[in-house]
Amino acid sequence: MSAAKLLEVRDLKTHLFLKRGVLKAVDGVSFDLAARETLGLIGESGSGKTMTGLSLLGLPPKPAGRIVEGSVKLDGRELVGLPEDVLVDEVRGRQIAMISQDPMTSLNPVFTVGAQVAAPIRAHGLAEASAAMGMAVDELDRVRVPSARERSRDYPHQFSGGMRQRVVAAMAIACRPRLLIADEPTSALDVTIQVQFMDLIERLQAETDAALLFITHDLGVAASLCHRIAVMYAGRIVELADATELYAAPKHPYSQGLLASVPKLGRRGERLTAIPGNPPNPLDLPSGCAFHPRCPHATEQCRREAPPAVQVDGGGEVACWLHA
Amino acid sequence: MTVLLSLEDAACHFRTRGGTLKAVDGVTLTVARGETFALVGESGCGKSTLATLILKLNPLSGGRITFAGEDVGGLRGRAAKRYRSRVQAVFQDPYSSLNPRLKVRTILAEPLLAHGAPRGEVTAKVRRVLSLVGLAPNAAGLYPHEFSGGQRQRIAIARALILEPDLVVLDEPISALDVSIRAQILNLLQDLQTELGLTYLLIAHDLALVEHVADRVAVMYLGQIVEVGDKVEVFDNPRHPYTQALLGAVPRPDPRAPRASGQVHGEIASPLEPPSGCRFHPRCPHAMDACRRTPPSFVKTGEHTASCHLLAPR
Amino acid sequence: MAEAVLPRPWLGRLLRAREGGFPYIAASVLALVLVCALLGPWISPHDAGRIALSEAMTPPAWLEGGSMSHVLGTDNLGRDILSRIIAGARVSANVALYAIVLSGFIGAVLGMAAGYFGGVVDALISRLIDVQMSVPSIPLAMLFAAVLPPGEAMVIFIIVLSYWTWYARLVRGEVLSLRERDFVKLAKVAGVGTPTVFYRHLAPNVLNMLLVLATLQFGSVIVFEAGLSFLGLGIQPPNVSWGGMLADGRNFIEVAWWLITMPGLAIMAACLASNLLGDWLRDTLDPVRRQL
Repeated sequence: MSAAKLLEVRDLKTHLFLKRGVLKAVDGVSFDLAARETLGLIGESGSGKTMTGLSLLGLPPKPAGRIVEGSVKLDGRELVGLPEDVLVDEVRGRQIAMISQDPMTSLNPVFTVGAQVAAPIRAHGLAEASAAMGMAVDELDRVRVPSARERSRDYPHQFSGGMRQRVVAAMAIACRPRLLIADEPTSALDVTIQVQFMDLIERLQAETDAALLFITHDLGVAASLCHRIAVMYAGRIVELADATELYAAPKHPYSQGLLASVPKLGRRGERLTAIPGNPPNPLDLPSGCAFHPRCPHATEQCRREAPPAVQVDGGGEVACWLHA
Repeated sequence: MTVLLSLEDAACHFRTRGGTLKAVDGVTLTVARGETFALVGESGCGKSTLATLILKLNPLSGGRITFAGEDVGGLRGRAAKRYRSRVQAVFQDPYSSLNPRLKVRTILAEPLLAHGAPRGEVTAKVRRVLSLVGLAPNAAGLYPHEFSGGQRQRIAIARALILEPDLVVLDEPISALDVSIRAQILNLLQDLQTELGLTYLLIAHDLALVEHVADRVAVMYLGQIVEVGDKVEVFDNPRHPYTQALLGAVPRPDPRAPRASGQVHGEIASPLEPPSGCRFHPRCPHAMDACRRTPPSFVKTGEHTASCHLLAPR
Repeated sequence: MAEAVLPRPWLGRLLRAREGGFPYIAASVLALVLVCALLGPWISPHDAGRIALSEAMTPPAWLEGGSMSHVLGTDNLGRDILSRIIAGARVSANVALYAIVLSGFIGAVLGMAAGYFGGVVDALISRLIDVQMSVPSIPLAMLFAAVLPPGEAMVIFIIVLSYWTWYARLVRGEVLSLRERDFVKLAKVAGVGTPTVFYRHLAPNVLNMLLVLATLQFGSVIVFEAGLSFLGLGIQPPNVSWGGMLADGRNFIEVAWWLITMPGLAIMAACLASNLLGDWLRDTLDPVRRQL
């Protein structure tokens, strides 16, 4: 791991206080991220990966969500507990930016895309109105929107899905954030477009030196983009390792199960090994290790106690009693 | 090989304000009894519309669909109803495919009762089909919201099977499910096929999934089939530049694998104004003059067919 | 996941949502109106039509000159105002219930047909709705009042004529989206007939919205009925209605304000209560809001 840690997340807990109970969406998540590094956050729906991303921005869903514990340090500065106006002025869109899955909801249909890319530049006082517009055109050019100057005067509905996602990316990098959070940015795109977008996001990262937190459920996309990968299950990181290490020799039974259960190109005819059971009800998590009811190696200890994360050979971290 | 389903020049056109949308435009294919035939393509290629034609949810605008020797378009009354019992479907979203206000028992019994099954038989059949898809008998008394996504998809499969159909149209049957339960459902579908001798028409965008389960594959682009053939042939030796691009673009779950590459540029054109000549030419790295002018015809080698000017004999 | 299975999901939600701020006051006001409507003759202190000129314009009990035997005072003919409000509640509730059930039924059936069948059926019904909505209801009421025999039936007819369009538009929109839901398509694929699709798959899924709209409109219909009666187009004397009481009292507003204030308050309370209850119902039956 590189020495210069840009982002340090320690024991982050974000809970949703619902009428039916407390949903521990993020329940003790820790990881580091260096500049220019890409960390993949993979997991199923409800595993807490999106909520982790939102928590870094200080945006757990209102009014039920709250960061109850933990620390998020960006360049050594603690973000948890910062007042809302400081977050708005100095953090969101400036130091940390986000690209979400659906470009249509990230863009306002009544403003031109140029104005929308210029908006964060103006809001953070990086340029005045007319200069900001010029910078917006440069950004659209950077994300390879063809004839950016003309198209900056168009509205979102005049763009295709892939182009819209490029516009969202231009908005996100407009203020040169230190950290870019991409939440399933390619899941709504077709494969031929997905490849183009993955190339783009990698180039943008290299050009701006940003760190990238890439949230996805797609093991293929994560493999081709991420340096390190954190596997989430029921609000916790169960395994965090270098991508090559994780895919070659997954340590946690859940990571093993996931990798064995996806069909792979060129491996036809083999029966897939399915993970038994169903994802847990987030309001009523199993005792001990949340994965134990589905785990082939579960012991009495797994039922009783949640395993701590420990360092394992290969430099990764695993939260499993098999390795403790 | 006995042909169960065949489409000849099938078309589905919608009149819209912007003109005629040719969602499916001249598709010819045959599905053999007992096989899994996969239709792949990106969103907007018309694969789901093609399924609605086979399910008689949309009328044919042209061409012909034949099922077990009968012209599907001409079926009326009792014959149409019998066809309904022989062709069933499982859709992508298990939340949308079950009526939230009905108990599982009612959901499963509905197709039987619609076909005049005696009430006495219904309970036994519901129980049998539930065990077939791996659910406990007491599931019958619950509502859909009491189940997880994977369990709901099992219920949807049970509903499709309760009429003992010959053909099941699987429209993206696992893509809306959690990653960890996709394999369960996929294995279940494969087991059911072997056990009941089902024929599957699988519609999917995930090529790895298709390679895993299909026997034959057709690749669709803008309402037309561009390549069709035996799975091994199509995946090992793709002929059409679009198939090659699709396969090249699939990200592999292996960081050491060669990086997926974008061999095609641009995006799928609007089906309201399909490009002239070969519909893929604006995105094709090999496009020539002929591609812009004339639509390519199918070139057949063994059981493998593709429509591309590059393949035309000179 | 482990919730008890209730026979009707919406009923279950209704019972469970108590902690979500059930509007007790609003519900009590509406309950009071219904009790008055049902038990009017037994609970009213006087005969609503009894004229006693000697007691004319007695002020309410808490004012100087008031009397406990006429708690809300009397009108210009000495009739007890409380008794007349109770009698008027019967007319208001009766008219509102019939009008809402009828317009809801007609609107729902036409709306479902328009949404489900589309094409010509939809075009015809949608144009009918547009035409109906473009005709102002008061002149229409005047026209029918001139042609039809006056009375509750006529008032109900006029209200249904102008209110069914609300239900039809709402249901049409909902069915348009339901029609695209997979369970409706799959019912067709399974060979289920159209009538069954209607009553099993469409109707139960629009019921919640109908219930909300009906509750919200209960108040609006009462106000509309009062307006008609105030104009003399609705309920005719000697039958008592809140609108009629307003009309009778308006000449005396300077000398006996209670003649017009008391029925006015009754109308306002009923209308407000139905709006509050309707809002609560909408929030309660909305699955998204229920999550939080």
